[in-house]
Amino acid sequence: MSTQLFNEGATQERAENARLSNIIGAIAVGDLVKSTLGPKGMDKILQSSTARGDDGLIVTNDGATILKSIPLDNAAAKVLVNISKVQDDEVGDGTTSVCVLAAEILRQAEQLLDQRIHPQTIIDGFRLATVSAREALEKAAVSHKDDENQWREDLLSIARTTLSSKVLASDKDKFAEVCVNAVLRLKGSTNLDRIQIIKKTGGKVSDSYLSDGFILNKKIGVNQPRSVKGARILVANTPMDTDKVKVFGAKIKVSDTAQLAELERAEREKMRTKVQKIAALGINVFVNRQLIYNWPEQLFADAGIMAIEHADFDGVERLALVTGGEIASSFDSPELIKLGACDGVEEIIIGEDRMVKFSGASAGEACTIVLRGGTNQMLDEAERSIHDAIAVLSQTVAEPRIVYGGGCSEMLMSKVVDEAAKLVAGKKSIAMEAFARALRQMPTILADNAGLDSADLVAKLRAAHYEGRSTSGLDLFQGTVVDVSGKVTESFKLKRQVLLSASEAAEMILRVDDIIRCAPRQRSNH
Amino acid sequence: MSAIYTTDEYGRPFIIVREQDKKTRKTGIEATKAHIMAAKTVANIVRTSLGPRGLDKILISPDGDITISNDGATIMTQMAIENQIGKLMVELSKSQDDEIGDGTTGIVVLAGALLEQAEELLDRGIHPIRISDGFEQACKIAVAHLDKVSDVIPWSKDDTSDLFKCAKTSLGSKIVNKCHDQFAQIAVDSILAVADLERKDVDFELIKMEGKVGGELADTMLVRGVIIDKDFSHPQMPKEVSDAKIAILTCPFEPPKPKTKHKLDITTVKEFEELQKYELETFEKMVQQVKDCGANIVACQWGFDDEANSLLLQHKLPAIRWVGGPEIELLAIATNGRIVPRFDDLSSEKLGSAGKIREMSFGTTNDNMIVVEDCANSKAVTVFVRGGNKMIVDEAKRSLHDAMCVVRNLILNNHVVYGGAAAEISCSIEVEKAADQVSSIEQYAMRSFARALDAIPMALAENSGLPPIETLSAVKSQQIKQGISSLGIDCMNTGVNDMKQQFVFDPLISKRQQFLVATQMVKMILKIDDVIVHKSDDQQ
Repeated sequence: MSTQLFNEGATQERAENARLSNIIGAIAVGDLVKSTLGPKGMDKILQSSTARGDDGLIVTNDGATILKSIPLDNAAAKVLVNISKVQDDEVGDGTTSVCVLAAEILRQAEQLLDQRIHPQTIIDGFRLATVSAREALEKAAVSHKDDENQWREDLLSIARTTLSSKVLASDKDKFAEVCVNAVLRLKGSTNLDRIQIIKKTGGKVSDSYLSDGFILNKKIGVNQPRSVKGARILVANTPMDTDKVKVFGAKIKVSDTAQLAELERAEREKMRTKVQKIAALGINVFVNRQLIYNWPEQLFADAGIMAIEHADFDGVERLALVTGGEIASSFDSPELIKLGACDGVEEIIIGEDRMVKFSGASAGEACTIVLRGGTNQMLDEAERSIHDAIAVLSQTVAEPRIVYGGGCSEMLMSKVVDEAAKLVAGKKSIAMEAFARALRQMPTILADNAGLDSADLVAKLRAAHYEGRSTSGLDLFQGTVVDVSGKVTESFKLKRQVLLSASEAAEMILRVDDIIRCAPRQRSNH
Repeated sequence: MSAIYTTDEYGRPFIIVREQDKKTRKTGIEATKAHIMAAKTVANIVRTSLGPRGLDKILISPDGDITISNDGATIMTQMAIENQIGKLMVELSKSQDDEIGDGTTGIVVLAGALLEQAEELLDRGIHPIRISDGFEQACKIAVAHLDKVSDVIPWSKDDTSDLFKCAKTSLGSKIVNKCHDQFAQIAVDSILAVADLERKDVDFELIKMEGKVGGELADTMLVRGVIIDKDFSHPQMPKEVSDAKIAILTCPFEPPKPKTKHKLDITTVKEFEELQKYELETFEKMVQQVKDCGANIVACQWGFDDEANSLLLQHKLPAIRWVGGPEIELLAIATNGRIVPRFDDLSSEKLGSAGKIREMSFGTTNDNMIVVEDCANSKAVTVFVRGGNKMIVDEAKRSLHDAMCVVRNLILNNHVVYGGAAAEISCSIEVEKAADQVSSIEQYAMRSFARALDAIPMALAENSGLPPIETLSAVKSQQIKQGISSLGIDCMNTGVNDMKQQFVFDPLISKRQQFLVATQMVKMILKIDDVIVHKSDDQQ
């Protein structure tokens, strides 16, 4: 006798089946993105099902972007997508690694489950392994923040490592320089909105540059000066169309046209006084977040002030940061308004578009990177790569410790976990060994993607680590084991987050023995 | 339901249930058995979540969102059960969650076990009402026995070690047992911070849980203050204020908006100009009033006009806008400030004070939160939960809530019983003993109740990978022989099965509630003998 418990369409998977479906889902996601790992990783084309043609086409190497775009129906796979997204938000890079590591841990766990080891025992072992791996990673991490040259070299090296797997790899030295300079300008802030990336098709990728000034993607009003030296800038957020009466419920009621004309004049007068007040501040550049109508624009032109309208929120904020001014919305007490300043404001042309460039700014805590490239897809991918790089760099500025890449850190952790496993009695040690194996999979995948003999190389790498050369890693271009210190550098925060997120996710998935899927919500086809 | 009373051609009365073909109907024993079947199925789903070695469930909502949980009540509510009896089981778990907060899995498993036993009795031809009477008697004995075996745990504000152990018992089955001590300590500390020990009352409103993905579980911390998920209203305001005097407003920095309906007609230019002036003055007056009362930071429930925002910046008044209702109350409590509904009412004594207010930023997406620390009143706390993914953060929040409930229950009533199913085994022995004294049919029902209680230790043993029957009989005989009621199932394989030594405690009121409510619910289900379901129209 059976009773229907759930809605029609609901499904339930239990025990072995649930575990199997979870692990298979996770491994499938891991396998999906693992070929993009490393400097010799491949890209993927994502074709959107709704947007046809150019809009729906993305070519990318970025794990988070790939996973975000694939509609997945497997619960464990969704967990993996989520950790990849968190990795993207937290550190900006390592989005592929975190998925691949979690999948590899689960692949190992599957074998342990086949040996009839209780999931909780496996989890206990994984926890011990994570702790020792983390300690090893922390011990291996070094910081060069005190030594300015070395510090800069580290940052450059991190940027090169991040960029080397992306489309910009061929110009990675140049872009590493661009990214490091941009991030150092932020003076420790992790707010990446301050770095503006302007993409213009045309030219070649190596034509991209970090602008020495700040570029605003807007036009200057008609009949206004095209270039100003010794600019005094007011950054504002105020209505410049008609200044409405804001008192609620106020309504204009007139009985004849003469009165209406009077009122209209009064309104114009109000706008004129506003412009006069602004002009009285002694500025020669006025940037507003909102629209500037023709009439005030003309007034500004008469006063010889360069007025730029409709600069969006980000633009205004960045400009305020660059010029050191404050965003103002009221102009009655001039002594309280802080004006921004820079050496020159001029109209420039990039590609075919005209933009406004602010150069020689006093504060300069924001900057602009101009990207050039042949196609839109190329530019988009370049932007993502640059974004990843500056995200990692800005986090490294906040947490200056670094570790070594090229499989070095993973092998190091794997070695320590293996050694720790020998001291643990009971089945947990088997799980720890499995965890170490999962860590060793990372350099294996790196080597596989580069078309090298992974078994041979990883064994050599492991031997090097056991011989005490703890900074050995893989040189995927030569196919040899080398000392990677100073060559392939990665952010400690990135590696730590990869390790922790992956093991937390694996643990979470392993703990599950039942999947209950509610009936999907009926969608009406309107 | 619409029944019609009619008579046939011979004048004999009969009842027609209208549109009979649209309804399904089950009656008598068949109905009861179907119910038991459904209840058992539900209980079997959560059974594997029981105990420190229990496993989690993934629940996929109709929209494809994922919840991963070990908490009985969460699993039950998210399962979207259609079956009527299944829904009752959900309610059962929910009521335990609302009343006690923990033990939501245990209660479902117990109810399932009771019904399973009842089925056997039904097969033997015992009337359902007799069964429920027997269960009732047995339950009374079990509850009385619980009181007898319970221990009082001493605790005070300075010595919280026993509260800590109870919180640990509750957290043991959850994924957060990765940082077991830390989470237990957070649960104890947060409850003690807000508890009113005189009245033995704990206001959960004062504990806020804020989650943010990123970092790991071990980064979770207790903030003695408030965290508001907002930015400062103007990007150029200072990001940190020390010795903050905070003005807490529920009126917007916007032109006045009288509540009575009104109309303001502008007919002349002069009026227009006057209105402009008035508007300007209002803004300046607002800011001036805030400034005059000595505030150096403003928290407002509503939005700001651009002009007001700029004025605030110029007057060096950092401000937070769109602070939600509960947050603003919490902020007021934490800083000992008053919520001010009108600018005219602002005065220096109504300001809240805090040692430090700062903006925290996370990750690479310009995510900020405002932390109010070193508050005047430490009675409001925030638990800031971190974790590697969204599901783990949600689960950690739920687990912490359960642990906090346990601590709260102990503050209300500091009697505990021993966990690891020791209390259940002991009650089972007692009920079995008492059953022999009963001369009527209820004897059988009482024995069944005892067997149902055994289901809990069996499930624990099974989930921990121990042979259930062997383990249970060993512990049972040990309890009887040695007369120690604190012997339970050694789930963690420590080699000690005395729960007193393992420090596995459950609050007495939680266990008692489980027994009482589960029995009540089983009685209810046994009494139903007819179900009439209306088929929905589209199924025809």
